[in-house]
Amino acid sequence: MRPACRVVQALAPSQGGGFLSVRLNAHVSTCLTCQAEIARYGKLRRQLAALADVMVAAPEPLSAAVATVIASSPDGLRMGTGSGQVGRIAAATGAVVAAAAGVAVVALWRSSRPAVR
Amino acid sequence: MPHEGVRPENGELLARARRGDRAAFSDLVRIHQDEVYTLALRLVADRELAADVSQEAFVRAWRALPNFRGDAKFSTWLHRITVNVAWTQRRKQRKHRADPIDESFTEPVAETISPERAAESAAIGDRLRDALNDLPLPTRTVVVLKDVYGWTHSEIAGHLGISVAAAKVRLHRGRKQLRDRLWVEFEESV
Repeated sequence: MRPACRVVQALAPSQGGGFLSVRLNAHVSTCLTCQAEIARYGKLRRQLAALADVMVAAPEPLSAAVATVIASSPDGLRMGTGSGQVGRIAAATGAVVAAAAGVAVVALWRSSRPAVR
Repeated sequence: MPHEGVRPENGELLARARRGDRAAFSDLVRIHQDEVYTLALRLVADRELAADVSQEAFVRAWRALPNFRGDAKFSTWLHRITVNVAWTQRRKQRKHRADPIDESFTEPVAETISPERAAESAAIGDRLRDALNDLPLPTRTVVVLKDVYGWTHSEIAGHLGISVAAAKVRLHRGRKQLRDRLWVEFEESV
């Protein structure tokens, strides 16, 4: 295998055929091996892209199973809904109050200590 | 961006579902279940696990729906959730047991696609599917998202928590493995 062929075959998986320098393009135009290699990757990419149009039917109970799980979950589990927000606000308020109380206790304890000389 | 298909987005259903209307969300599930299941199946290559992934993706979508701002299309958003769930569940499962790939699933050709595309899809046969399924999960995920669903490298990197360079390396490696598998087998059989 010629050095130019090695370079083309190393680059082909990432880039297809539109990446080559003028020198490598000149090589490819006369090298059937490299032309075939670039064509293979082009075909592979077209085949993979064609899969986007192919759907596999979901199993029948899927929508029913989702509906069952959702029906049994409380609305509070939803992000941003009323009860969830209330819960978060309550938790945040509690944390602030607890932190303030902690600071007050420490300040009180320090002020009640006898001064060290 | 992920493939959108021919179905229009249903804004009214979405608005109702965002307000907590479970019936509207069930309609959305029915509309999108095949595409979500197909994506999950391509990522995890196992029917049962794909069903679990799809269910979990829809449940997470329901929970997060009030925060869905409509910056992306609903189906694009659903795809992203599905990728996250599939990635997490497959890794979790692989930690616990080494499952053989589900060999039994086949890819029926959708009736709505053009005859040319249908012919091309049919011609792909089982070999591409088998070759894809044999790729390691991290490599397969990148190949499927880039070459089948048209995600960009930065979208893939962001969702999988890897660098753009790593996404490119996996894509390169995956295409090379597919090429070797598909054409070497073909040349050997001739």
